[in-house]
Amino acid sequence: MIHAEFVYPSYLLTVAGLVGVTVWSLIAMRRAEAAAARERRR
Amino acid sequence: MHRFANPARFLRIARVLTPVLTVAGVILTAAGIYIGLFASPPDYQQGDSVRIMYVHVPAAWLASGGYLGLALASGVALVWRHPLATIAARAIAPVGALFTAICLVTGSLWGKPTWGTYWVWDARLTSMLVLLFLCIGYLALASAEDERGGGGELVEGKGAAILALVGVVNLPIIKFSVEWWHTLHQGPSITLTKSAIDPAMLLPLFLSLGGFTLMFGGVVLMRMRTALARTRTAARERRTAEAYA
Repeated sequence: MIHAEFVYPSYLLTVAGLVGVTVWSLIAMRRAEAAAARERRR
Repeated sequence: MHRFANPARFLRIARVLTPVLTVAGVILTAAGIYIGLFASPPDYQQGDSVRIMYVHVPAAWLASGGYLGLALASGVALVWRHPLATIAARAIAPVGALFTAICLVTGSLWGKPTWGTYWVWDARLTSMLVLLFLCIGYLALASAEDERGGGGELVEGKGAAILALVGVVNLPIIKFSVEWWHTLHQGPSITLTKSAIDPAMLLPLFLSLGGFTLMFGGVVLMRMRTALARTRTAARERRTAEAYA
């Protein structure tokens, strides 16, 4: 692929950003909701 | 709107929508990326660097759209003082900042082979950079307001919301910068009535746009649920501490 040194980093950065923010938000949500459930049971 | 602003009702809807939006978004994004990278034709002028458009353009649309959502939520929070609107604004801001950063970096990577430079102080590029600074400014102010409240429970500070509303003036500047000034950045290729893009290139573009948008929605819902859960936990801890005091 011509211009691969520009195309692949663009996709890599985008995918890393999307996966990173999704996983980070998912883990934070699971932890917060688990903590809220624990607090409710106390 | 007020009917859906009830936190309990919102949570019931969000619990259903979060996985649906996220999974559908991942599927559409994966399809858009695959077709964009391997199954769409190169451009007759730009060659393979046109493939960067399939991630750059959706990121740019979501950067502006996300900021509009941030400003709308901030406006609702200021006028009706509804905590869910503040939570929505807080949830949108970092995701919008991420898409703005992706837009700027991928645009820069497209600029080098196409224009011969990574960056010029062109009206479109500069106004997008200002949008990123506005998002970062909002996050800094919101974080300071939350710290003032001791963390956990939501603080309805006005500073961040006012900044978000003032920053809306930048959105028409971004949109019309390529028409108001002689910019290196090209004019719009797609309008409401016509498109200058070949259908073979529109498919990965719209798949990525749909996928990014759904993922944006899914992540914002996750962040709103996180904020609501933390607020509930903090409120219960405070009530328990008061009961034992």
